[in-house]
Amino acid sequence: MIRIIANWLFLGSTIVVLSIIGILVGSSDVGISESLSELFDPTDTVISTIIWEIRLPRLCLSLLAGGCLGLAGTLIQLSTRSPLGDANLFGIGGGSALVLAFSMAGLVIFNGITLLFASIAGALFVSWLLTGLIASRNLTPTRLILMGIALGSLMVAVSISVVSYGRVFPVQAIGLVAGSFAASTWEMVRLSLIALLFSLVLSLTLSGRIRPMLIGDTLTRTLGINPFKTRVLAMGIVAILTGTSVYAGGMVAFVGLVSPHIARRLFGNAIYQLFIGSTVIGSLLVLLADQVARLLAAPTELPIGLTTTLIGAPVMIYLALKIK
Amino acid sequence: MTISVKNLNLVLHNHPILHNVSFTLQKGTLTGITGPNGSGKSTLLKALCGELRTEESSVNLGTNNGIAYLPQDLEDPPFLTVAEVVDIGFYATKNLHKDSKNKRASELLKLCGIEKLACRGFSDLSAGEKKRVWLAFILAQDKEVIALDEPFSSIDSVSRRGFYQLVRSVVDTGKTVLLVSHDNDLIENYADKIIMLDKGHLVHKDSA
Repeated sequence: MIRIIANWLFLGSTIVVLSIIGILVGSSDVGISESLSELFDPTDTVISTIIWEIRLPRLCLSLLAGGCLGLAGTLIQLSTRSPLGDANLFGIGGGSALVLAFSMAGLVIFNGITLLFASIAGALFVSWLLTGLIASRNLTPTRLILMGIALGSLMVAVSISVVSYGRVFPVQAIGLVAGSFAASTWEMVRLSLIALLFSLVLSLTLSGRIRPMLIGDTLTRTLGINPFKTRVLAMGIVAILTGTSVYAGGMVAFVGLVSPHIARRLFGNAIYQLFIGSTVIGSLLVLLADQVARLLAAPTELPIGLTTTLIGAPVMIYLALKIK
Repeated sequence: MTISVKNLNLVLHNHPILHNVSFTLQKGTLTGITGPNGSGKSTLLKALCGELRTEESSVNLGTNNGIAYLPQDLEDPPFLTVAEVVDIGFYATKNLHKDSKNKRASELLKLCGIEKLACRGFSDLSAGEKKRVWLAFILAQDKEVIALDEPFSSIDSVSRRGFYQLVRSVVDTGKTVLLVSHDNDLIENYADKIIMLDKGHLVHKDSA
């Protein structure tokens, strides 16, 4: 118990420290003391705009998108029994990216909340396609991984083609498939917050039925749970979370894969702790990745996916070696 | 309470699998279902458990409590420890108070001889240990009737004997157990009754 509390304190304090860096340090020539005074007593229009309209929404949005990815990863891993479950690896984020690519290229017009809904719809298409395949083709977790990776690559390739066709700025295109929070606004923060809280409540409500899914469909059925319906619901929540994260910051790789495994190490398998833990760890990872992306080569921005892949790829190799 | 099966017929994909199978079973007994490959043993078990659709009238379980069914092919649940797998078995017993659930869980772990493995990851266990965990999982459901499909395949013969003793002790607590198996010798030693199938026909009913 003490260990779990210590872990929560560690996570919390790391997020606070990174957030302070996120607010006070940046590529512009604003000093830390100036930033601090503008944060609490905004006077100078330029500096307070940088803090209040650029750094703060960006910070909040990276936290929210990370939370979405972490929770989505847990839901996929539990409901498909796949330790390599990740929304972007499985092409669900790719579904969103494809819709957003059409929008970026100007082929369809979405704004604000309709853009979020379109992004969720793209994710829902892929997540329910995978759910249908599991049911109709009796996909094992291993075959599901292969299927997901193939779908994911397809979605990214088509998205990039659409973006190229639309002559979108390269920075925007990279942001879509490798992650970027450079264009964050308070409106995106508000919408993402609502989507994350809504999904978290749904997940916790459904948690009692999702955990038994780990013992396999036949045995789950003997317990009186309909595994197909439960998976449809879980993957529906995954789509809301993934669509939101891609809408907020593009496809950030590996966060959904890694967060549940870290949460399990820190907090065990108790389902509430696992859901909330993976959400917070996802937030922390994306926040960290965004600070690295912003500051490492400032004023040039690196894609967020760089950092998350540096963390995620070794973890995936380790997991692949462990899976029997 | 008795389980009665009357003229059970089952057709799968236009192939008749079971023909007019009838028998009755007494409460608190161990019944072995044997027969060559493809004789319909597993299908009979699935039909009894409601996994396969049959005419309602042909099967009377004599209980509303249902059957706890352990299928033959089981995949390892990822992430979970032994204690957590057994805990999922309590899913249907929602009215059970947390304290009595924990007490019952530790009793089951002890009965199945896996109390020392409680905190181990399920996928790290040996084949025999895994079967013991699944048995504890099935018992956690607290059903009167338990159906086990080839539970001892992939286990060496020494531990297999230990398993039959374990199942026997489960029967002695008042459970009715149906067990599909190839081990004719062992089943004759431990079962109260043997049902032998051949090509979907009941060829032998024996009270040992």
